[in-house]
Amino acid sequence: MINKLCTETFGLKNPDSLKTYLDKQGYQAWKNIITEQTPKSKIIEKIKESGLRGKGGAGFLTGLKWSFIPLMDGQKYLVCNSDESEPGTCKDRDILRYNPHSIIEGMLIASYAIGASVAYNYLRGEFMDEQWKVFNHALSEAYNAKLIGKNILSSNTTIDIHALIGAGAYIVGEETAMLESIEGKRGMPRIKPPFPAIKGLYGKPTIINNTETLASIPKIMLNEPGWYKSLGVNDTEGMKIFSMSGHINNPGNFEIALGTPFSELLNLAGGMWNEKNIKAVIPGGSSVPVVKGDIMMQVNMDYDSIAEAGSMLGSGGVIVMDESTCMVSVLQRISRFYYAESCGQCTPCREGTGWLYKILTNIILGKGTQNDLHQLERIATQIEGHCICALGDAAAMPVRSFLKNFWSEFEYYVDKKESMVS
Amino acid sequence: MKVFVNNKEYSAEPEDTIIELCDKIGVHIPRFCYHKHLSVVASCRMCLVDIEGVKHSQPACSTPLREDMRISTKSEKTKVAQKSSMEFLLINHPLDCPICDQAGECELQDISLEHGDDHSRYMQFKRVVIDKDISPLISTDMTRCIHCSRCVRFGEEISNVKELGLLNRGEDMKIDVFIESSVSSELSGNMIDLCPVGALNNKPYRYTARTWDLRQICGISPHDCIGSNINYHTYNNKIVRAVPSENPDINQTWLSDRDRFGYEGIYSEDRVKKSQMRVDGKLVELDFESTPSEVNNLINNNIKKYGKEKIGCLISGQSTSEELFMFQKIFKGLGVSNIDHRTKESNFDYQKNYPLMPSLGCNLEDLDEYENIILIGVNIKTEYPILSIRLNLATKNKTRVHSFNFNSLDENFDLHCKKIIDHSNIESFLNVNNIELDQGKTLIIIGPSVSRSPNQSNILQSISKFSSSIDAKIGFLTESCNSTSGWLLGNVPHRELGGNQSSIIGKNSYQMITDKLPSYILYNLEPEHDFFDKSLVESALESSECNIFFTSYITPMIEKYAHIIVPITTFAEADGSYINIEGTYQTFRPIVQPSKNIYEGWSILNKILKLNNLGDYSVANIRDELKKSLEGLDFNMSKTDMSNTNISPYIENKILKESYRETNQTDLIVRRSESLNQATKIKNKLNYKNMNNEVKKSYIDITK
Ligand SMILES: Cc1cc2nc3c(=O)[nH]c(=O)nc-3n(C[C@H](O)[C@H](O)[C@H](O)COP(=O)(O)O)c2cc1C
Ligand code: SF4
Ligand code: SF4
Ligand code: FES
Repeated sequence: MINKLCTETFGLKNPDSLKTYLDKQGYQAWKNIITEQTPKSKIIEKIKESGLRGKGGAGFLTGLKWSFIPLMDGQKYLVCNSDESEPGTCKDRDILRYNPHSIIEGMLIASYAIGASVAYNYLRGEFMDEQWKVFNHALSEAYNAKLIGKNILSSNTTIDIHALIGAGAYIVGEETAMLESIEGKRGMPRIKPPFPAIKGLYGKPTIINNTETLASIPKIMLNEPGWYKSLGVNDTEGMKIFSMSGHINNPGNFEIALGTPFSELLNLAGGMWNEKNIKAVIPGGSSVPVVKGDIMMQVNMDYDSIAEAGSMLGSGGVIVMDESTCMVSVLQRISRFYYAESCGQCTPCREGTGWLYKILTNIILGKGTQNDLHQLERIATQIEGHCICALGDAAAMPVRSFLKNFWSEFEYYVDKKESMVS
Repeated sequence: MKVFVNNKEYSAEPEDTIIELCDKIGVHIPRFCYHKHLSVVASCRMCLVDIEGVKHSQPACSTPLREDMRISTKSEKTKVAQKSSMEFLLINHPLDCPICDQAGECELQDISLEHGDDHSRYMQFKRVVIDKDISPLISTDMTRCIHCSRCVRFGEEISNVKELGLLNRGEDMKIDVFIESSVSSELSGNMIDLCPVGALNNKPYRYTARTWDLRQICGISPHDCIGSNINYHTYNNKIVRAVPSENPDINQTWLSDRDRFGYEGIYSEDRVKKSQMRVDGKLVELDFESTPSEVNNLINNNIKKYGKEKIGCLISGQSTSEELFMFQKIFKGLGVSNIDHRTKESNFDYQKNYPLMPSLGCNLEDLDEYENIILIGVNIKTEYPILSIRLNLATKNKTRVHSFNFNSLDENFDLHCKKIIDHSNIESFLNVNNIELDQGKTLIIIGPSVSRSPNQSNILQSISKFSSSIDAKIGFLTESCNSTSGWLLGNVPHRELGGNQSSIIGKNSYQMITDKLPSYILYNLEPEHDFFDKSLVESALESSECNIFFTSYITPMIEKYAHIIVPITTFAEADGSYINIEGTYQTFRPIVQPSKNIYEGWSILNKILKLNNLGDYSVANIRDELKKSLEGLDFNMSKTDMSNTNISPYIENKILKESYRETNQTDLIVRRSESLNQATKIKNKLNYKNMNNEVKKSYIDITK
């Protein structure tokens, strides 16, 4: 059941070196494409068939996204989104430091398929010390091996990859804000339409994909059509890395087949710590709705099953909470994050996230009222769907789901001025 | 395309957004960040509307129309969405309307009246923003800012000078500058109008009046030949501020700072308050009743004593068309041909072949149709700030602008090339091999620095030859707001009203001054600043027997050399009209009443005219005649040939006094605007180039 794709080189000696990667059939897919000059449409078709979905959060079908790129000639860009900042998510950082060549190969194939001659990998600022260095080293190795750059492997193909580093804003992970940032502007999301595939970086057609999405590409290209699809269990397609964190014995990244029951994933992660009972799980990064523990234990880790449970698979950051967790405090902490990270451009998000956080802080300080709980619910509804980007929704969804699932605990806190669990 | 708004069917342009359609059909949609001349950011979320089949309400300003789209601007869903945006906007707004100048004309107030709640549900602390002193013209109360970013986009898109920017994120986001007082562009005041709340306000006007006590009267800018439309706001018969009056053909919704604050000059201390006459070497006050006849006696006596050809009549091109009309009517009627309005010029060989009047050669809105615009002797940014907006948009469209000037000055739009030229050998610059022209139409715009050049005639001839060699059109930008009238209404020594050649050619302004005539009549001119050479004027006035000044201001030279001083109204206190550089004739009414002993310039002139039995006019009569002489004129300047001029050789040793004009020094009124002078002072202090080395060292030199 455990099949290694993006995590193939993890745990090997010198996992990030070109040699290690080459030993694992690295760059084979890329070499095939270059020597055969595979038609672009064929690559896009194969990615479409594989059923690969974006791992950045929205789960959009990658092949479909690529096919939106206009066919005509002209400058196009590929951007790899390594801004990984969603609380609970820590998969891209490991791919960057343990398997950087898979990202490079994925970026090359994607650039080739959409006709981009320049690609950027945008890393979050906090990756400066390790991932940034590792990735840049890998890049130079690949350049030296003539796998990137001018006339790759003596073909006529030219693709350059540049690594960029952010300055610490979560919002730059939003794809259009990332484009603004690359252009040297304030990282603020753009209004859509036009979508980046039509008008992206410097006004040119651009595809933005998550690091994990791109790192999955080489193996998909190397294998038979249908291979990737078949990796999933229970009628689902492919693989996903889940970042397990919270009250578990063995936190970390686990690359598993989609459709694997949550209970199995929990076991992989060593189960609950101190043999406590599971209370709640946030299954896809802090912005998705929280799910009660007992319901989660029945859920399979795939898009549909989690959606049925009222949440989303998101970026795959699974936060597990045991019975000792104070849900009021958790929500306050989450709200603080979105309050601090709103770019400030649209009114509901700029003003609403602060309001939510301030009310929750009041409750924590024992100054809350029953009315405050209704206020929270109302403010979250007023933000949802009224913003330029999804950060507004990301701030609203936790509030609504925490209140819905744990209303009595919030009521208790307001009445007794202390947490139900401590 | 068919769409439905509130269940009513409309046909719409497919490229329009919902808000554009609704503005056309008169359905009101509240908005803060949207402005028709700025890019759409859809960030305030005030314009959310309910669209059938779409889950959440969508911003009307950024949502394109679709066939059969059903929009509801009044449904419950729309109301709830708009109300919620309003609530968010208000939670951190100080609501200090009682001490806010914006109150009464505040978009936030207006919209909250309709969409806001009557009480606040926000019980937490409100955001406070510390203010910086950003400019002597703009006051800030940034706590009131609602982050619509109109001011920021104005700098990025319209004035092309990025003065205000966004700092920080989320709730801490603020509009700010990096260096204090650094908002200093020639168009900065527009941000006051754009700001929907009281965050950016008019500093000189601060706490002067409440908006609902103001009267509004429309005037025309007396400071440049573009003729911006201005709404003057008065309180107790005093102008307290000026705002743009929208005119899509001229200034759109914008105004230059010079036009916005220039009016302060009319309240200068040195206004002449009463007629004065020199008796025994001293100026004594004169009754108004006897003033016209005293002046008339002087004029007629001088003509008798010295002869018609010894009288010099000079009038400012800033005078109204009515004044210019009356002025030449009197003096040409009395047979005097020494009459001129071109007091800043010194070289006049060109005049015979000059077009009937200076004109831009095209409409302002058509500037972006030219592939090439060649600017010669003009700095648009400082001399015609309002025009820089059009040129900025033109360069963003397709136009290449080439600048040839005597000084090295920057523009606030992209220049394809910039060259510093020399007065003596302009031909060497005007060479097709020197200018990278794009395929297509070319317009050459000749600015006032050319008119001021001691080699003007040669330069005009070279330009004329060059223009025909590349099949370009020629246009002009003039020294004063009404120079076009000066030409057309016969205030030149060689032409009559309407532009017909005079039988006798009188002296031009330079000859009048250098020939040291025994009698001068100066109308609306400041001898210290309005002439080619101050010292020449001074010695002329000194040696003259009789100097008659019609003036609004008393200056040291006027005080010293005047035999009679007649106070006249400024543009703000009289009926008047100007012809702008596209040929648009614009009239205006008095904005405030002049003080007791000051009368409208044209009416004083009319009294003198009457005394000479040369006619009797009313404003309406004058305008009728004016319009008659304007009929059929070709302001499009399809033919401009100035190449067959007989030009005397250029005398190198004539020193060029001043070819560039400081933006706030262009006429006698702006020179007296305290706020503008303050702004200039601060700007010069900030100007890196002007800093002394000591100060420079304390800055990091980013130019290196
Ligand atoms: C507020 C916000 C933050 C985001 N942060 C990230 C991020 O850190 N990493 C990422 O890959 N995608 C992030 N996304 C999603 C991207 O906008 C985009 O959908 C994604 O990079 C597309 O890649 P994919 O199709 O491969 O998933 C974020 C979206 C939002 C709205
Ligand atoms: S929703 Fe928030 S983060 Fe997204 S654009 Fe609006 S203000 Fe910025
Ligand atoms: S200062 Fe005024 S114009 Fe500028 S963002 Fe704030 S509210 Fe808008
Ligand atoms: S006017 Fe549409 S969002 Fe501001």
